[in-house]
Amino acid sequence: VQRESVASTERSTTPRSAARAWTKVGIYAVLIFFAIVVFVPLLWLLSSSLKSPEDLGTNIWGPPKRFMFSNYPAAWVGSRMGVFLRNSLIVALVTIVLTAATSSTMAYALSRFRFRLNRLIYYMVIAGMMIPIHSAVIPLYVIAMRLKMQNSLFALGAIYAAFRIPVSVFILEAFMLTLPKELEECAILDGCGYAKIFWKIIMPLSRDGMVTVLVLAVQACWNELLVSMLMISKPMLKTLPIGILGFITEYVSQYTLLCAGIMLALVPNLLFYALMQERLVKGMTVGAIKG
Amino acid sequence: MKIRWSWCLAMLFLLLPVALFATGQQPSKVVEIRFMSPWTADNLAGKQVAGILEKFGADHPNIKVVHDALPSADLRTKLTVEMAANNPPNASWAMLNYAREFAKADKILDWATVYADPKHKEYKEWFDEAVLKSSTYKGIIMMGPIEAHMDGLFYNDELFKKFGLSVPKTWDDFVALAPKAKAQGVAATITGGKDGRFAWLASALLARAGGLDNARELAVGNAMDQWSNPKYGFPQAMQKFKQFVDAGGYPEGVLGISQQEADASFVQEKALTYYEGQWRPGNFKSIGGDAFVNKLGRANFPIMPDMPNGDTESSVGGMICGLIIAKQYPKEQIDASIEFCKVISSPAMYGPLMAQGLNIYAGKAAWDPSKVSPVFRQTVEAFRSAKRFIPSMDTYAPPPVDLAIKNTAMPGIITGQFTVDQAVEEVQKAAVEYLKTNK
Repeated sequence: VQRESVASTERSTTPRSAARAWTKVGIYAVLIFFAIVVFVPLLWLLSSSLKSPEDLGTNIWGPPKRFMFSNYPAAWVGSRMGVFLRNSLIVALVTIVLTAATSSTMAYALSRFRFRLNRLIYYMVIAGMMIPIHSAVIPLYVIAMRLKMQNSLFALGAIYAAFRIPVSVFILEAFMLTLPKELEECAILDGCGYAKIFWKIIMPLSRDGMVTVLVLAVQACWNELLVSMLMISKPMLKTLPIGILGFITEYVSQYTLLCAGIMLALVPNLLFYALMQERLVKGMTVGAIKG
Repeated sequence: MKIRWSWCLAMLFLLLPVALFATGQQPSKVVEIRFMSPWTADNLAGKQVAGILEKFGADHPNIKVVHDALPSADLRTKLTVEMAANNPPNASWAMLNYAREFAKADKILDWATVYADPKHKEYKEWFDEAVLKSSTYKGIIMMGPIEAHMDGLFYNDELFKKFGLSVPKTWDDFVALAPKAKAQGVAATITGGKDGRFAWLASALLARAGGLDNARELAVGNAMDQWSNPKYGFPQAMQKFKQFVDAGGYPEGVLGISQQEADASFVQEKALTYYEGQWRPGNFKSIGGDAFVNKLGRANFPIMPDMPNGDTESSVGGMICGLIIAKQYPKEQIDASIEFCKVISSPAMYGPLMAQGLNIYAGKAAWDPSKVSPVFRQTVEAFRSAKRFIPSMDTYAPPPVDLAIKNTAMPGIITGQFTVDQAVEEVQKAAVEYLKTNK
């Protein structure tokens, strides 16, 4: 009887485990496919950055015939990448500081205080997410010109931060709503003011949300070209995307140096992302589920 | 610890604007001008400009030039936005059709006043009268001359000899070449279809089918809404293009080929010819080296003897870009801009570029032709002996019309999405729409 029941269990579990195994294979196949979709362009970029122009011209998809590591120093020196990198870092820093300062305080007020126009202000702020930066370029340029904000890395960072406020408030407000109110009530009973509650309770608990907002802000400003191109005219103040574009010219483009330049430009962004990755994922998911 | 971090953050927040706004103060007596160009730091022209800027700075300590270098597509975007915002650079490189829009809005200097000024007599020494006046629009000379452009049907002489073929002289020869090339496993011609590289071909076809006067009427004259009218030759030009497409002149999937891939395919001897401007041999050289570029020859674009109005002697090119100066600034800035543009237009700037086979100077410059490839030499000679020029479509027709031709009509004919009539109608619609909004 026992043998029969084991056999019947085996009969019933084998197809189920086989189905499970096939599901797993399917999931892995899909994941591998997407990994390839993401990795192939990066590998191609790396391979192209190590080719000679002749090699890239005649052997676009294959591996380098001879590794041209010299493309990297040439890209670094030829296009003043050091200067552009420094400028991009300054802009990213300004964007981070301003985005953090404005979005966190606004999200705190909107998520924690009940006042009459709370929802109206919230919707007005997040409506900014619907405005693409390109549609605001000419008015933005005119305002910047009148306020004499051109050729200033601080002003550029401020513009980027302004465009990050809607999405940052959206994420942080959802995040802060998930924090238990009892903590604040206890703090108030202990004599804490709102500023102290914000610094001592809300901000530490919102760390994952803040990291998400800041990583997204850095990625957005690191790759932005149009506004940077319009606002900055002085060669020594240009940012990385403009510097990299310098390899594309009207007549002869240096694609191998361009690829090397892009690889170099990727490094800080990748490092930042890698360092913050865990918190970023946590911040996105916590906000999403509880919000 | 946390309190300290917050203080640091607050201090940083306060100090950043002070630190960043504090930079860039200029002595009051120096005239600062901004010059925009596509000569980025990473190419030879960029290095040439850098040297010129240094020398100019030493010779003119009272003029400070801020060189704003951007790739030409981005330069056009920035220039358009800045013109719209009334804050253009003092001087800039510009394409003919952009300069025309700025001239219409009365935003740029008429160079006639500069040429007439004895202080700037060098212009008349360096350039022919025709070159100086080549960018005239409604009596205004819009651009100071710099480089010249010249088209070429660049062909692989070695392949032609190997297959026993002859270089096409007429359009019918060119169409007949398509099946012969195909039989040898190569294409008759190739282009960067993915990047819409049909602007030069469109101008060449229009000139050969309808003549220069009609082309001018369509692009900038009184017939800007007559693209579908056969009197001006555009429908016939598209008909000729379709003949070539139907004969299999392009390789399969030409619309998926970028210009870089097209250049590479030509170097890999997958096509017999390549039609475009004078800079292409430089690209071929950078991919295939001297060994390949020395195999090349240059021919004129095939003529169309069956087109009664067609021009058989014109070439695509001429002065399609140049230097513009914004007229809204104080006199001392305009004077400084002219002074700087003069240096950019001088043989000192373009002589070395020409010597390396990279570009053709619009003026008179001593250069050593023995150091450049035969095909570049032939292109320079063709430019110097050319009778008439038609600008490439991307610098001639209004931008929406150019886009309709090279991104809609011609690709549509290649894919079979459009008949010739439908393709022409697309261009006609774009032209009518443009005129409605730009009356």
